[in-house]
Amino acid sequence: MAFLDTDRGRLVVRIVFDGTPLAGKTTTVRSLAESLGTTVESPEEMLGRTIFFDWLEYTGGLWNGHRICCQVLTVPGQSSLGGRRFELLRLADCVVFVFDASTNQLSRSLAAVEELGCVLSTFPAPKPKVLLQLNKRDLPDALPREELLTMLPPDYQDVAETIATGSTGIRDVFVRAVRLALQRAEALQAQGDLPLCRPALQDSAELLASLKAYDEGEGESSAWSVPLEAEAWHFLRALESEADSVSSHSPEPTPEGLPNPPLSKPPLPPSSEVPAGAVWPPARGRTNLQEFSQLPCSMEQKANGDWKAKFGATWVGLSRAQHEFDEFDLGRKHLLELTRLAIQAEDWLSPDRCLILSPASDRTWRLWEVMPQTPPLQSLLVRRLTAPPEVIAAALVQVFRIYQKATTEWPEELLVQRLSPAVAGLSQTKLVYTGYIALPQQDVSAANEKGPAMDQLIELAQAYLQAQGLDLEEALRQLRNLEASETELSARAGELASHLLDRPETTGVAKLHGSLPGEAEGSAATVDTDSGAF
Amino acid sequence: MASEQQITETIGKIEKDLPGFIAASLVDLDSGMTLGVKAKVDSFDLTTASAFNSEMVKQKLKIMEALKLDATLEDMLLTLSDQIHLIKLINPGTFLYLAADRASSNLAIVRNAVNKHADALG
Repeated sequence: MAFLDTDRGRLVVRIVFDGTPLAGKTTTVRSLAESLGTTVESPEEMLGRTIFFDWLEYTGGLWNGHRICCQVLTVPGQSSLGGRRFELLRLADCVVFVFDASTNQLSRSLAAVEELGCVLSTFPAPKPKVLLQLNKRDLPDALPREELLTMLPPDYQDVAETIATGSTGIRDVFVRAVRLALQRAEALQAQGDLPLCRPALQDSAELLASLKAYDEGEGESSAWSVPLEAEAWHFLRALESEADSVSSHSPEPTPEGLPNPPLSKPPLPPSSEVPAGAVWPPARGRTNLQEFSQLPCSMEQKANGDWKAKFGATWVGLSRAQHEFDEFDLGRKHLLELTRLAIQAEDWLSPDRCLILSPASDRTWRLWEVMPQTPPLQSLLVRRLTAPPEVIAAALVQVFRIYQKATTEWPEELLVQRLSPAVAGLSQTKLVYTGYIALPQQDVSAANEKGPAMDQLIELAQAYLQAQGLDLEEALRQLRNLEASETELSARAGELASHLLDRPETTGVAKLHGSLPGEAEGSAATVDTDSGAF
Repeated sequence: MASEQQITETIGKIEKDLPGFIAASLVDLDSGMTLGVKAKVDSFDLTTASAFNSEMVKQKLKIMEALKLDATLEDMLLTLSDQIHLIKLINPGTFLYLAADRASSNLAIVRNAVNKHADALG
């Protein structure tokens, strides 16, 4: 399964070479290694036969600005090792089926292709892509390609011809396989299932240990086939969607629990008909504008005169009270000023945030900051979790890892609010700021009365763990041990897990919630401390 | 599609015709992966250069699309203080990336050498 390892700025994809015994899987991977100038690891071979797997790692290419790390594996061909083969196939983003094209192996090869189809049909969508590698094309009894194609299932017509012993066509097969693996990564990303973390299996030694544990029945198959971190990521995503749907239906209450009455007539919402030069970024901004301007819009005015617009359940717009202009040129001057600031702060903003100068009435223009609705961390961490403790712990450590990085890099001079779980949301690859961009000499960062940002998150997480009534300590301890042995960043996450475990004081859940910015009695996030239900 | 051996041989012919040849690769546009490489200077990281140049080509194609240009991208020339880089689109899915020493060559020679052999890469 593909992973977007944001810590290391790389996309990890797995290509698994499958096929009948002696079809040329290992020969293919060894030829490929020679071509790429790298080496193959083949743990515990027996008489030259693969009994676990062959492993090759290569980094090259680029996907959406991330380097592509390819983990290339082969399966053992022997039918007695079918269990290992099945588990290795579950890791694949692309399966290259090495098809022995010689006549005397034809029926065996065709049966194996059919079996592969059955195996893959049991996998969840998006399924790994399949490329057929017609190997041994130099043999005198090799069937012609056209004849072979008529015998293959219609789904398996993506074929490449090779002579693995002579390295002919091998690199082409590899590049085509990478392309297919990227298509799967894109499909995973499109449905929000691309894990944004390092893969649990990072080298051949880890894979070998996992396979041996599987063989010996020490660990259940699912313990490594669906790596914990991927599961944690999916879990966070599910929470995010839930928080999104809740927040989209709950208008922000005033202290009295009543909606704010408007102070003036609502402005017109941003229109897709705005003139050239009134949208930033020009191309993406206009595409986004086209999308959200077609959604139902609800407008709400804050006590300070600012306007907040919601477009469906997915976009939100902010506009300051003073950002209404009688003349387009004056508005455009402010738009350019804000654009300069947005470019400086772009690492902390959603890439889909756009600035729009749009007619507010017949005679006036209004400047909007519109962005995708991203639920803040706070709303994620006050919801009840129903996953196993180790998944909750892994999810928390991931949040902490991202947040910890942000505490040292948050550009306070560019963003109106200081970093806190209330203003930072989790959006795919990064932490994003959900408030206004700061205007020079006008906005002063809100005083951080609750102390350092990290403590706020730790307090939230701690209260939240207590409310679950689950025994998370053991899971956190395991994670601490696991993380401490990894990279520097991961080690910091381990420290955070330690912090969660070792923090001496206990914080009352109700008290904590009462003191959080944006939390109020009667809101959706109030806590019943007896039952632990939100 | 040319085999890796054919690609390497073709790049070898370009090298022969081009004074100041530094390195060249045939690159898959979608992934940025190299299909064949040849470098005269070991320190020239063709894998990285190819990957990032694939992004540049993709961006240029997006620009053309945004401008609604009914044209085909043939090549891209980049002039550095001491090197010339040429990106030649071979077909919609692959391009040749070549770097040459500016002191020993010029744009015309580079373009001529590449165009002479580019068909063999298609």
